[in-house]
Amino acid sequence: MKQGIFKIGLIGAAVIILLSSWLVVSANQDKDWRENTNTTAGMIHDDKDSLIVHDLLADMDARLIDNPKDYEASLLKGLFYFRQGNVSKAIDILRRLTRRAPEFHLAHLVYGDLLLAQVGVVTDVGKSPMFKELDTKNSKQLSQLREEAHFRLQAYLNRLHDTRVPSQLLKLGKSVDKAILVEKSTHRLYVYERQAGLKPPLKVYDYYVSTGRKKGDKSAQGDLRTPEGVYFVTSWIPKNRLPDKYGVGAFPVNYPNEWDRHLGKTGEGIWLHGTGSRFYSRPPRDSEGCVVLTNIDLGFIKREIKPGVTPVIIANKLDWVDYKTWQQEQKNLLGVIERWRRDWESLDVNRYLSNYTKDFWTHGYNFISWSQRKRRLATNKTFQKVKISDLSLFSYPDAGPEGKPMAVAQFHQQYRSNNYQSDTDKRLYLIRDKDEWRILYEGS
Amino acid sequence: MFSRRLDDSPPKTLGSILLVVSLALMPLYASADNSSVGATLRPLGSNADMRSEFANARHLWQRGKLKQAAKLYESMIEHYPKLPDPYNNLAVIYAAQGDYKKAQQILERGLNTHLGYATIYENLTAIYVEMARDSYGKALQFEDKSQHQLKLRALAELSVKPVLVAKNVETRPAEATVVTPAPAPVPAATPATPATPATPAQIATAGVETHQDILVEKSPLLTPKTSVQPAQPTNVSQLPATVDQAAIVSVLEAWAAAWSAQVPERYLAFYDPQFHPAGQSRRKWEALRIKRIKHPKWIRVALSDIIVKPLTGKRVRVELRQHYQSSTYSDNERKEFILMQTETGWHIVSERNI
Repeated sequence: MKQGIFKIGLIGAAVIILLSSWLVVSANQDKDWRENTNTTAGMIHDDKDSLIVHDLLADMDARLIDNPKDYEASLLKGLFYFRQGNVSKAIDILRRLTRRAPEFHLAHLVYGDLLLAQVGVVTDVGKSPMFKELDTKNSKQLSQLREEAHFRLQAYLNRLHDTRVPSQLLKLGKSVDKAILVEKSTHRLYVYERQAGLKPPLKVYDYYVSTGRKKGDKSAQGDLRTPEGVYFVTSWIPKNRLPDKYGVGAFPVNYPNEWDRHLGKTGEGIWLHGTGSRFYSRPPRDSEGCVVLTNIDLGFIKREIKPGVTPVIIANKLDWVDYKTWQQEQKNLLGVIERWRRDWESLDVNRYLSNYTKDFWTHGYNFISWSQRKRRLATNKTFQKVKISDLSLFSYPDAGPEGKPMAVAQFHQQYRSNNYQSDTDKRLYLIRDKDEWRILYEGS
Repeated sequence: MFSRRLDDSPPKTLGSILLVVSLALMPLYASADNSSVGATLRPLGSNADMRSEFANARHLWQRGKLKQAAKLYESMIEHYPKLPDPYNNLAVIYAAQGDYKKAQQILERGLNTHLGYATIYENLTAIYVEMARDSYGKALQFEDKSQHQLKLRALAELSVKPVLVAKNVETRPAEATVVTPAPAPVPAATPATPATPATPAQIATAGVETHQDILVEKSPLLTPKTSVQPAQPTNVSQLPATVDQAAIVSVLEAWAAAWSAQVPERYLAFYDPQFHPAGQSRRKWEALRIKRIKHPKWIRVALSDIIVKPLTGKRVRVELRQHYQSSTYSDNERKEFILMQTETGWHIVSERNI
């Protein structure tokens, strides 16, 4: 009797509705994977759905083996069990999670939902007819936690079984082991690792992040927006030199970068930093423009970041492309850099200058003054040798002016000539106009 | 994203039954094995002593004859409306066919077969809600901790009537007979106890239904587990001829009910004019009682361990444990009452803590 009455599926949380609708979509997205599942499902129960949940659970277990403090994995695991109909297991997981991570407010909320779902209806995260007053008294906090739940779950599910790669990372130089990508629209930070040869980098971690309170690209000091662009970590500021709200430390990035400054953007102090000690995580849109991680996650990426080297590419939406597209874009840009290098070596100044756009600028020069200088220097050259190494290529997030795609090349340049030689780290900004890539900025 | 409203029924009933998708895919005969697909409803069964009708229904079900099984459960419900088990299994059948609304209604009826189930379910709900409130508080950082006092509902009386089993005859100390509250006379089992004319107290408890038709069955599955102490019909003859201990227990139950209902007039009517409160006048005592009965927001009084000892002169001594709970206070005392039978029934002539 006990079982009969109390284990009836008094299951209400719409979390699960979300999951189930997603599962269908996802299954359609990835054909190979779906076919796979179909075959296996046919053997067992023709129950695709339970297999998918089974997959998700296995994935969470793997994450937890990697990192027992992956509280997000515990949270999702609870939700997946709930999806499977295993309410008591889901409750047990959330109960233990709330004890292990008492500052993880979302976990408390979901735990409450699961408890209520046993005896009533839960229509949304923290929303039930039994607790109507919650929504009126705590609407702001609740909607923030709902958003956090949404982003954590959705970002994970969206990327699952997605084999596409971000076109932002076209090549990582030999000294650049890891690159960081931040997608503002999904509140996710990705750590990618360089692979041998010309293979696309591989995703090694991804984390939920909070970004600026206001949507959109940063343009001015105090606008509470997170900038979008290709940046590099400049330094590390340890905890003891910071107020508590920055958590275990901070990695400043070079906002405003050359392009930002060229556009007249202002502001400073855009950091990747941790979370104040009273919280496990922050709401999705919470910072003044910084990218905020949990202290645990920041601890993880700290091992991967080299100040002065590690790129941080922040986009509203990353450009996820299939392998072939990625490879083509990489090839194009490698060709552009190589052509520029050879044209420079050729001693033909016009050929060399054809690599630059009329909008070109660099410190103290525009295209005209730059051309004049190059022509003047060329008169005394009898030979030039340019060697490029440690080349990284990034396609710029979101298009440049008039929707023209942009890219950033970062490399070590060895220059030898009859009257001058240098070894410098160089950065080029490139822009594509009428299917031709040209150099927009050159600096070292 | 979570926009789909699932059910609008009030949560306190079982209004919100939502079965996960996996349920629909669950084999109809999931029995006790819920390891594979997260079974959410579970049919009862597989007890050697099961009533044959119940077993028959189960066999039909197992052979895939769902309609016939459902029919049999329906007929069982008709014949034994107080037996919860058929409701449960019928609901499982409906749920397995995707008719959750029907399953929900049947489960609710099943809960109502027994006051205890519904109360247990309500209390469990209250506990879950309170745990959820606590968790929400942590999520949203409420400041008003412990403001909420959990109020669970206590059962004032056993709603299952004990079975008086005649065959368990042992000789016991002559004058002390332990009974559970409000035993209903079971004609087949207690021929020695004549059905007494209805006393006011019996009228007071007449609304409570008995389960004798079911409980004479000895199936462990079908018999609700109550620790019923068999009364001794053989002892009845040693009581004064007119003493019916069931009637006396009923009187005290009605007295407790009047107190719980916070109706002082009804409560005071149980006291005989001979009753003299210790240390104060009867009028003063009555005034104080009225105040104390009316003051709390709610009161629940339950009685247990009732021992009736016959005395001379149409009197009995009753020892019992009184469980008092109110919005402001709760205790649990052992008491002794002397009741006397008058023309208008049994009345309290003395009451003291022991």
